[in-house]
Amino acid sequence: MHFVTGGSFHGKAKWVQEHYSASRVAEGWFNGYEDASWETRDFTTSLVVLEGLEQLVKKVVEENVIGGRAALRGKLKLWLDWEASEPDRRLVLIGTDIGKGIVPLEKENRLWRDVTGWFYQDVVMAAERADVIWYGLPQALK
Amino acid sequence: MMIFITGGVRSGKSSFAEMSAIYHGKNEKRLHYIATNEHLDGEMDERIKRHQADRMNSGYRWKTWEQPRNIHELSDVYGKNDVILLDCLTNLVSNELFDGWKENRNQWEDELFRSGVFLKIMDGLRRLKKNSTAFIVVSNEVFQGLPCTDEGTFYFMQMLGKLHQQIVSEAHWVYQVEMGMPILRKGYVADEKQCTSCPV
Repeated sequence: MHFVTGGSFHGKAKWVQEHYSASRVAEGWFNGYEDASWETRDFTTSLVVLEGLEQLVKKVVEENVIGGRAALRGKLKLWLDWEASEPDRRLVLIGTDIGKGIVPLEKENRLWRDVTGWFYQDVVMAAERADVIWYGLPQALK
Repeated sequence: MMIFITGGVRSGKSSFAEMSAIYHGKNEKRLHYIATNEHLDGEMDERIKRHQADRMNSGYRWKTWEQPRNIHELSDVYGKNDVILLDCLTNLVSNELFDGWKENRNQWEDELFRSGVFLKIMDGLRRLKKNSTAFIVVSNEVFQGLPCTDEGTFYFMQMLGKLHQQIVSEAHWVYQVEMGMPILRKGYVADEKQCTSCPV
C-alpha cells in the first residue's frame, strides 16, 4: 500500500495519476468527495486508488463518536487483506492533511481532525511507501 | 531566472526574499519591489511602513511599484539589469479573483473568468521572469487547515494551489521558509533539464 498525503490543492491526485499512469475517472479510482462508502467487493481492478481519505474519516466519526479510530483500523485491515490476497494488487490511498490549522471551534470538527491525524499514523505505519506531495514535488516519508 | 519563496504568516519569508534579491543584484543590478496589496484600510499600514523602512535601512536602493492587479503591464519597464521582487502572490490572486465584488460584480463565480485569471497571472509572471535577471515571487501557505466551507475561499485556495504547482514546476529555485529558516525544495540540480529549454 502506498499512502500519498499533503495539504489541500497540492496536486496529490495529479501526482498519483502520473506516477501510476492511472486516471481519476477510470474504474478502480474511488473519490471520497463524491462518496466515501468504499467496500472491497467494489474493487474489481488490480490497481485501486482511494482518494479523499479524510472524507471517510468524517463519515466514520459522524457514526461513531467513540471508537472511530478502531472502526477505521478495521476498514484498513480489510483493504490490506484484499491487496495481499493476489500478488499483483496495489492499493493507493490519498488523504489531505487537515491538521495544521487553527483548532476548530466545533467539537465535531475537532474530533474529525484528531481522528484523521491518528488514522494517518496507522496508515503510514502499514504503508510500504508514503509520500508528502508539496505543490507537485514528492517527499518520501518512508 | 525565477525564484519562488513560500511560508506561513510571520515566517520571515519577506526578509529572506529581500536578502535573495540583494544577493542576485550583486551590487550592480537595479532592485525593484512590486507591492500587490491594496491598502484601503489602516490594518496593513504599519506593516507596509516597517517593510519600507527595512528596505530603506538595508543600504540598497529599491524602487517600489504598487501594482495590485495586471502585473503584466509592468514587464516592459524592466530588462536584464533588473532584479524584481513580487510580494506577494496571495494579494495579487485575491485582487484579481475578487475584482468587482464591491460593486456586486461577483465574476469569480464564473468558471471561465477563473480560468482567465489563472492564465493572466501566469502570463504576467512569465513576462517578468523573462524581462529580468532574477524574478522572486513570495507567497503564503494557506492549505493546512480543515477544508473550507465558504465558496469564495474554496475558489481562492483552488486558484492559489494551482498557481503554486505551476510556479514550482517553472521556477529554478523553490524555498519554503519556516521560522526564518529557508528550506530548499527545488534547486539547480533538479532543474538542469528545464534550464536548457527555457529562456532564463
